[in-house]
Amino acid sequence: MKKRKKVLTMSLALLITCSELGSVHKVSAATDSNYIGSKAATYAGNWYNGYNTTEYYKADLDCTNFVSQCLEKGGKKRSTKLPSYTDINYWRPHSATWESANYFKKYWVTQVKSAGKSISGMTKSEKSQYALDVISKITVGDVVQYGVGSDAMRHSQIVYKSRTISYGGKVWDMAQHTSPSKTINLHDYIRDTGYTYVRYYDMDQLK
Amino acid sequence: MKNKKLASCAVGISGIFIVACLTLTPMIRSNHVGAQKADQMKIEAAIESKEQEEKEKEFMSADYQDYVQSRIDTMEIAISDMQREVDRGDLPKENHEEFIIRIDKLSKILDIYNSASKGNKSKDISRSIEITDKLFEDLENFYDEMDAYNGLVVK
Repeated sequence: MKKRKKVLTMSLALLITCSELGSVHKVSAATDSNYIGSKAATYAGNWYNGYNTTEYYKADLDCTNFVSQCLEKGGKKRSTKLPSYTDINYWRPHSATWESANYFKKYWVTQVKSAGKSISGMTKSEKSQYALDVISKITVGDVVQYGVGSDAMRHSQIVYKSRTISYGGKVWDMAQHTSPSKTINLHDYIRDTGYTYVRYYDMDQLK
Repeated sequence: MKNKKLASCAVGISGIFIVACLTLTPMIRSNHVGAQKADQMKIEAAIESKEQEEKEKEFMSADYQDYVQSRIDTMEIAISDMQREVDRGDLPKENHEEFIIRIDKLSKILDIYNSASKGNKSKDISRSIEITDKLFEDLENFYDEMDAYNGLVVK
């Protein structure tokens, strides 16, 4: 009887240990260790005001093409093939997922953790609170997109630098192409522009 | 008789004393209050000047200058990004209209700031603070106006 109890306890302990190990493994598997946000940001800082046509190309509206370049430099692997321009299962230069904001969203929402929200009915203070919420959840090398609906993303930026200043608290400097800049204040950008939908991507957290 | 004279003299002296007391006490008191007020004003002026000094020091710090510049840069980029969206011509109608209004209002705020900054050739610090405070106030008003445009009630 005692022996049976001992075996039962040991099996239970083993089971618990295994399940814990499994969950730890699950957490580490969800992080993309290949992606180094600071590398993506460094590339953004070097090329925000120019076009790296040696390795890439200049798109007509270049914001998403630029963000994709940053992601690749940060460690994201491009697809090896591209069945068709608009195939949302592949991401590589000259594909819609690489250079078009809305297709970029369609690809990356399946790859990494992200969250989107309509801000159209928000007052200035609600927008401000939402912006602070986004600021608390993103980090260097993450991506923020803006649009006029959940399936109408139109613009992409990458988090370039974090600063804590005595007047505005934590500030994220965003980098972008098309209107080149690396000093966009995310908190203000959300309130200044008329975009009504915002989505951010935690680029090193796999889905 | 002599006693009577003495008594009336005493009454006279005490009368004078009472009158003197009644007249002088408020004067002494008012002089004291006046001195207190002057001291108070001096203290207030000193605090004000100290506060202004602190404000100017804060304003000139690299940290604050960066903050101001990033807010101005963001306005410029926001205008340019929205203008590009309008030029693309494929925004839904309601967004298109709002983008145009935002471009117009933000551009006016920036114009006011830029011309005021240009006018402050001597780079007077207290004037620069005024100009920047006005810019931030105009921005807040702009957010309020856009809330009103969208029929949003400030909670």
